[in-house]
Amino acid sequence: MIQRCLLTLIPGLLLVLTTAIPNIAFAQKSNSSVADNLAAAKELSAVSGRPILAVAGSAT
Amino acid sequence: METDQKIAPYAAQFVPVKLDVNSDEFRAWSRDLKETGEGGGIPYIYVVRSDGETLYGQGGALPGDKLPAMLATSLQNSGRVLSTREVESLTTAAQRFTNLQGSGDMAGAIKALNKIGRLGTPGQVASYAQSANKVNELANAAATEVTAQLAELNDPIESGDTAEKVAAVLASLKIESDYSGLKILKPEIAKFKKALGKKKEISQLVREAKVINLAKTASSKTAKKRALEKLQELIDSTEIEEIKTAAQETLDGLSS
Repeated sequence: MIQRCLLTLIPGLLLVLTTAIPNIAFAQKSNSSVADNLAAAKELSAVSGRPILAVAGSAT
Repeated sequence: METDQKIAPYAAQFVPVKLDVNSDEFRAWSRDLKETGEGGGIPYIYVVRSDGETLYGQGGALPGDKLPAMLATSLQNSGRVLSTREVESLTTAAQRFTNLQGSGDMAGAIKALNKIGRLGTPGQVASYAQSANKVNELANAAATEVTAQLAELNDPIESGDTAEKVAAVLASLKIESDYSGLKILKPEIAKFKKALGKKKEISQLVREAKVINLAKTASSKTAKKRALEKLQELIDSTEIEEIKTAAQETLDGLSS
């Protein structure tokens, strides 16, 4: 049931655009911590088989 | 813009995540990831397969066609992406397999595992998702265990006394009945059967042991009735005392 919810909800919930790679929506809840977002991405990847595409830049 | 259009088809096939290189989370996570090339500074780009394998890990932007090319290459090595329904199918198959294996019904357990159908052969499902890994792990563990069991039967069949030969042949026939549905094990079982078939000195023993095994595995009422009749015929006719004993024990067990 948890897996089903993750597969259904997360892609819709987590949308923030980045300048590092245009046109790709990043798994990021605006009001969640980085740790939560990373954990959600790992869980979604593990369940669906989709690879994680992580882009790390500087916030400053 | 040209780059945007080239990337768009790949977007839905990844789980994208944006991180700050100075964050503790990034440091902790990237510690376990391997660099796949020479770093070129910010941004650091990682593609991590769902089983944790780093497919790409490098610093520096990927201009022009390099980014879509890297994404395409990564996807080729990422395995199949599963739908919700496929995840459910694999998860259910793994759970049923475990339950039936626990109750000793191996043939039923393997039948349950094979319910994944078009997703592939258990043990070789081409996805790195947790549910696929679990199904592959269960099938491969069963195959490894059975391969070892078959290897252990070689000695008694080759050089044991008649009672040991009968027990080993019956064990091999039970393995064949239980595991014949496990596709990845078929070559191993076929190899064992071929070797057994070449042992002319025990061909009668093997033929009669098959009657006993058939009685043990008969499932329908009609098949059971027929198998019991054959078993009684075997008890009355066999010249191998150990076969007679095993057949009688089976008959007693099935009749009670």
